[in-house]
Amino acid sequence: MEDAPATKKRFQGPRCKDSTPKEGNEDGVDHISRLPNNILGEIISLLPTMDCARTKCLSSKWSDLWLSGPLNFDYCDLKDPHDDKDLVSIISSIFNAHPGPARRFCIPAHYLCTNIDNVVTWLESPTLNGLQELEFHITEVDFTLSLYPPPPASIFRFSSTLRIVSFGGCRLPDIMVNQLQFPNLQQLTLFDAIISEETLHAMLESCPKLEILLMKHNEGFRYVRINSRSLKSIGVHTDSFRQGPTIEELIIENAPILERLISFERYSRLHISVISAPKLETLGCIFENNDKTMLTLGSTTFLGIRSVDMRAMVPMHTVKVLSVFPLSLCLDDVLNFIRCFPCLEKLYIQLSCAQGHTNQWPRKHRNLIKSLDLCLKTIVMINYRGAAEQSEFVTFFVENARMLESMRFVVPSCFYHDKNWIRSQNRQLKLDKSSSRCVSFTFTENQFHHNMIHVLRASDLSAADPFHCNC
Amino acid sequence: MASEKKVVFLRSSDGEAFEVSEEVISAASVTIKGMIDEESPSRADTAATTTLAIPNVTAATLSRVLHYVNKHFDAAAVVGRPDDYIFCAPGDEHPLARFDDDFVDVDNDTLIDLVHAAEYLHIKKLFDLTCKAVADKLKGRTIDQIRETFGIVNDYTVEEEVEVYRENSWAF
Repeated sequence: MEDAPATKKRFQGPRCKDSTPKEGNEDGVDHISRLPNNILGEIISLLPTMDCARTKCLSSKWSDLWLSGPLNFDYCDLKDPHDDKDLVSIISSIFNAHPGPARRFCIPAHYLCTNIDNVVTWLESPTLNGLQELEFHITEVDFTLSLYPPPPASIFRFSSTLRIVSFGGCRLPDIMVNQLQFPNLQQLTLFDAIISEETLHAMLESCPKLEILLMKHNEGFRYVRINSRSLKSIGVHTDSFRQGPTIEELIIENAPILERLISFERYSRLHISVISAPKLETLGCIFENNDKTMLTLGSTTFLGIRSVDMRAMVPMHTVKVLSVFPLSLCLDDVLNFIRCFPCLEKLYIQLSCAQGHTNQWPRKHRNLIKSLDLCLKTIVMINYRGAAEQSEFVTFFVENARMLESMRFVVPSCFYHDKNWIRSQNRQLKLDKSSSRCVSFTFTENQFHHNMIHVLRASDLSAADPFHCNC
Repeated sequence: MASEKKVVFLRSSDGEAFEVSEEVISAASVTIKGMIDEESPSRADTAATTTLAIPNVTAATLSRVLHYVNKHFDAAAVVGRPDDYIFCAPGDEHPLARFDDDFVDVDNDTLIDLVHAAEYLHIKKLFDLTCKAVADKLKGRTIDQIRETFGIVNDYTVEEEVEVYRENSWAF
């Protein structure tokens, strides 16, 4: 592809030599104000809430520009999103000034309990006309809330325009089943929500454009069957602390364009069964849970990551990114498991602290590796501590995976800051003489211990690599 | 008919003509599609190619726009599903994401010209892309930085400025 560099060269005018932002205004002319107000309003509405409000201070022309674009309010953008007293007055003053329409409105989910009168007033205000994104947002389950109120019925006036909805900390009662129909909905998050199996399935059927479904810590349903021509990503997080029923089985019956299927909880009891997902590319985390069947792919059933019957195994050629969380790191098991994914390019391995396995790999693997013909390009080992079985595991891949380009070790902070440890690891892993191939090795700090995948919003599931941790 | 690729010429405000596939530009630009549809009865039986005047767009900008259009709307060149990507989250690996990033990595003047052109030609994807690029230049900046970047003159009196800052104190 000649595009990227060539394009830049071809089109760089004489004034583009400095493209760093601070040199933007070489000639002192106010370029941006050449744009008509409606376009400037549109641009301002793309900004986070605080940046948007600040533009009012630029000049008198800008003071009312934000009113000419759709409202874009997200309390998470604020300096102190948890200062409830200020938040209500900020939202109210915005609603007083802005005539609408609105693109996005995101408020804390607990307002459904604590500020329901305000919420109803806002939802009924013309400011929110044409709303496309509505979120009752939570970042984690709030155990202090015992009430799970239903969302106000006024949300349904946006049914036809909503593209993104997040129901957090609320109940979606069966009597709403005929209203929970969103013909243009693309992203749905249910987070700490209570909904019955029947209502959930009816709702999914009534969202024909749904592309991303995120279900975290919900209650009220045990089985979810997915039959969807539109879903591309599904994320699910179970909850074992609930009194009511929680999800136990996720069955992908027919999802012709599903690309990502991601489960988060380590100690989950969730069984995932994939009957038909011919485009599935990203799969994980596959947890081992003492001797319980957790995963069925077509006709192949796995106990942990061990196939019950290897002869019945049907390889999934579409899967390119896989994340596994084995109870103990056993090379044989991992190799056998990834044989189900012959086109695998990126493997995440979440390491537990369990020890005692040995991964010395004498000749017996030589033949295996030939038949396996690994396409792996990247391996990420999370919570790597350099234990013997871990380093043996690594050297196996370094020396046998021919396509390997990079290995990343996410290590605990105490190791990360220990230069001697890193040096000795480099020696131990023989990383310096990684033969003729060019494999890059990096060590990064594991700053995020309890929650391995940062998925708070449905849109997080569509990140380039949902397993990649940016912090 | 299928084997013959119809082309149209677009004449920029400064008089330069650019050739583009009729099919591609019609898929991209609502404005030009409208112009072509208006022209079509008169040229149905002639082999002559049409030249359309685009009075609001300079040659420099038009050539950029056409480069974008050929990348995004030429079915033969497009990989993946072009319609999906507007709703992709940042960081998505859309095949053209890299191209788009480079495309809007230009000086402010050029970028603003592109916004204008995308709006005039009614090319929604390009309009969204360029507006977002402008927004990215405003995002996370202080008032003074934005004024400096874009040459915005502060015409508030001291009293007015104090007042507008007070009203929006929560945003600072």
